[in-house]
Amino acid sequence: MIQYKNLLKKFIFTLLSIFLIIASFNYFVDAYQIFRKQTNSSIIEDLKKGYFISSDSITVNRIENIYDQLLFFYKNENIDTLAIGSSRAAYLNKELIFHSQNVKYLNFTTGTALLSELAKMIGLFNKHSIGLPETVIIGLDPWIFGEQIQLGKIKKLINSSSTLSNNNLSQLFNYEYTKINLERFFKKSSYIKSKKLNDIRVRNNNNMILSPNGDLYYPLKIENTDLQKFKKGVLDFIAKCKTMSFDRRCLNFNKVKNINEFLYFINYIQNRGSKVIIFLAPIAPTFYSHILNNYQFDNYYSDIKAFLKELKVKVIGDYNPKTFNLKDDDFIDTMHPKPKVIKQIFETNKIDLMEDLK
Amino acid sequence: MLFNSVEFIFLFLPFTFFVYFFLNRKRLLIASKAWLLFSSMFFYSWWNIIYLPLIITSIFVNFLISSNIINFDKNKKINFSKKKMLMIGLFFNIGLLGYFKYMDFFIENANFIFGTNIGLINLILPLAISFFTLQQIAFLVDSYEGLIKEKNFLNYATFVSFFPQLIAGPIVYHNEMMHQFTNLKKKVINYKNIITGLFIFSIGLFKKVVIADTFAAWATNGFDVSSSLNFFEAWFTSFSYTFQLYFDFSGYTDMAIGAALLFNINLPQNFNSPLKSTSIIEFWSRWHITLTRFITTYIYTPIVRSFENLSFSKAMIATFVTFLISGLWHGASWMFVIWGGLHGLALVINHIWRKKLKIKMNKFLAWVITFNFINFSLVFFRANNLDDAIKLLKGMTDVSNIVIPSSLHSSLGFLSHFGIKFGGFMNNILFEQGFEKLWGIAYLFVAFFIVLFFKNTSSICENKRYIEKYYFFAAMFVFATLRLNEYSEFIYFRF
Repeated sequence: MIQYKNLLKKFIFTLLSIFLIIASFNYFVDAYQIFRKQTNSSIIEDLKKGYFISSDSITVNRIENIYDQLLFFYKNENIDTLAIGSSRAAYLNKELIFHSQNVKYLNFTTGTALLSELAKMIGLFNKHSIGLPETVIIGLDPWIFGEQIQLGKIKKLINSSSTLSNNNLSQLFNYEYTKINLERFFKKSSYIKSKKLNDIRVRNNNNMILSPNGDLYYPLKIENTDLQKFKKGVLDFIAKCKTMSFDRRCLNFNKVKNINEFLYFINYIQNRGSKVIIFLAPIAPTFYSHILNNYQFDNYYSDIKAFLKELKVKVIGDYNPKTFNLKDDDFIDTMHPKPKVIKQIFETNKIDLMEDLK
Repeated sequence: MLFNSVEFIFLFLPFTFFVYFFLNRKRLLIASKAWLLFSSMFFYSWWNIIYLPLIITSIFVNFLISSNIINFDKNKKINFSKKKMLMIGLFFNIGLLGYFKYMDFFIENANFIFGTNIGLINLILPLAISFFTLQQIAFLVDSYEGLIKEKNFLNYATFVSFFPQLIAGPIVYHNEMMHQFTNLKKKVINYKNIITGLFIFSIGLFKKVVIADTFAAWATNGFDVSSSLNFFEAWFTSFSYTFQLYFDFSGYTDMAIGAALLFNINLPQNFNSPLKSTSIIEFWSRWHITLTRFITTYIYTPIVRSFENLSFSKAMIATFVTFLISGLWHGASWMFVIWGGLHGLALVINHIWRKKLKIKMNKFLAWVITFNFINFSLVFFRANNLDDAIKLLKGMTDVSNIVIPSSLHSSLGFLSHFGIKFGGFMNNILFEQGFEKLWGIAYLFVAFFIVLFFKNTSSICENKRYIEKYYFFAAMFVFATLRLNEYSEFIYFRF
């Protein structure tokens, strides 16, 4: 019996030791600064302090790795406007849209976002119990209506929840928080930072640059791609689409899907008192001609426009580059217009938009 | 109160334990038993105090009837026969279960058949009613058969309500429990039992919180969130639910056995690596063992006894009917009846195979068939309705809807000639991206490895070699405890 008594003592001692190690780890790493103010820095903390960040780590899983945590820090701030979408909406920069106006603006974009990613971004507000901003600009890409996403999934992603909370000692033994702290501890990725955008653009020439509100900037060398290189890129992409036609960026769609799912998504935002603005980023002319000539994009786009008309929401922009007399050198690549295009589109809609955003 | 909650693990269980053994140490044996009864009632009331009078009434009425049955020969004033007393008891228990569990089911079916429009009563199913009712039916029958002579109300009430087994079993018999509550040797702290109990509890907690709850999210995505599933998604969903149910229920049982052992009470084993079974007959001797024992003794045997000349075919009819009833016991839904019926049918086929055909099957093939049958039948167990079940089964059999990751297109592009599509892999089940999605798939293989190659909890905790690895159990306990912030009920709480 004594050996079992000793075993019990060892078991309890081990239990307490592991608990203590985990609690101490969570207390000292404390990625969300729940327990104490940090002196050392991380991407998230530096973003919060107003730095522009450049790092290869901001290109993957941005929703989970950056926006989720960033929003945790913005918990107690009123956000006026939110832009969500794919990288095609990444240039919806605060400066381009609002100039020097004092607007609390967040810009959350990720890869070739589908409706599920948009839902996940809206879900972050639920997760952190933050009310939705007054205005939500949705960067609507054509592939959002091409790949079927199930309504249940949209509902589940929007209504996400978290076990994290502020100033709560239970976070010392919280799985979710321990995971975040472990990531923080092991993924000390190298990054450069600066409070001035131009400074970081000069210093960095490879990675994207993330601004404190989520705005993304391409490295200057990509933004200044010459026309020849651009055309080669488009032709390579068209060739790729011939063998990989299921790649959503190829836009080989003939039927509009996700109508009910998108309606649910829009209604969800509107029912919470937010104004919705749809932004359609133009597509590079060479590629746009390709999808008109080779696929049934014309019909597909007409259906999208008819649907948006029924929605009765403000729509800015157009996939068709002709609408704004755009040429290939107005684009970074097939899908991404240069900042001056975004500026031009928003200048055209300036008066209306400012009224909408009031 | 949930076993997987902070209040149970860190407050209720230690407090109950220390007071119980303190009273025993002071030789206040009746008080210690009363304390156990009070604690069990508190444990039950934590969920919803409204149903406390129900369990008290049920215990009281059953004790009264069994006392009359036991004292039948002495008590000449009773006008009823002993059998009538038993029938009243059975009617009371089945009536209680019928009212609280099946009334809306009966009304819905009556409305459907007769075209009536009787309103549903929408009662919340009282926690544990299926379990404490079965236990008391067994007690009444055993009293009638003269196997039990329990005259002490405190003993009886403690036996029925003992908190580790109150909510979802194991279903225990009076004669295997009562002597443990009265045995003086069991009134002193036993360190071997404490350490074994804590280890079993840790394994159970880990099974529930870490494994079952992870699979639960994916099973929910497949069954409730997604409206259509491709081939791989449908299989992943069905496997997820099979593993969720197994780890959830066996995890609960481990926690119950572990918690009871702290009080020197041995509860019977309920699971013995059932997913290793190579036949359905073997499966039911390894899965929910105490339910199999109950339905064999109290449903199958009386049906068989009612036949005048028992034959193989009559025994098979009895088997089938027993499993239909067992299916319905699980819940008021035709889905459970279908599940029970499928298992009844599979048992009949298995018996015919063994007794009549006598063909020996390759062990691996036998396991594949058995496992897949279990997996297939559980689709009905989980589905909310027939449409949901068909949705999943359609996906599992639709080989024209195989989607593999688009990243494999460069190396496996030729498969598109065979109708295989390239696209987002498991997008309707695993909402995670990148590494986390891969981890989800790996999790399934890990679960297969655990159920097929790991020893069951009892074997692990009875082996001194394993027990000495206390740090391993401590790590499991802590890892599971980290996830206690997430509220998650046990599946069998609904039954």
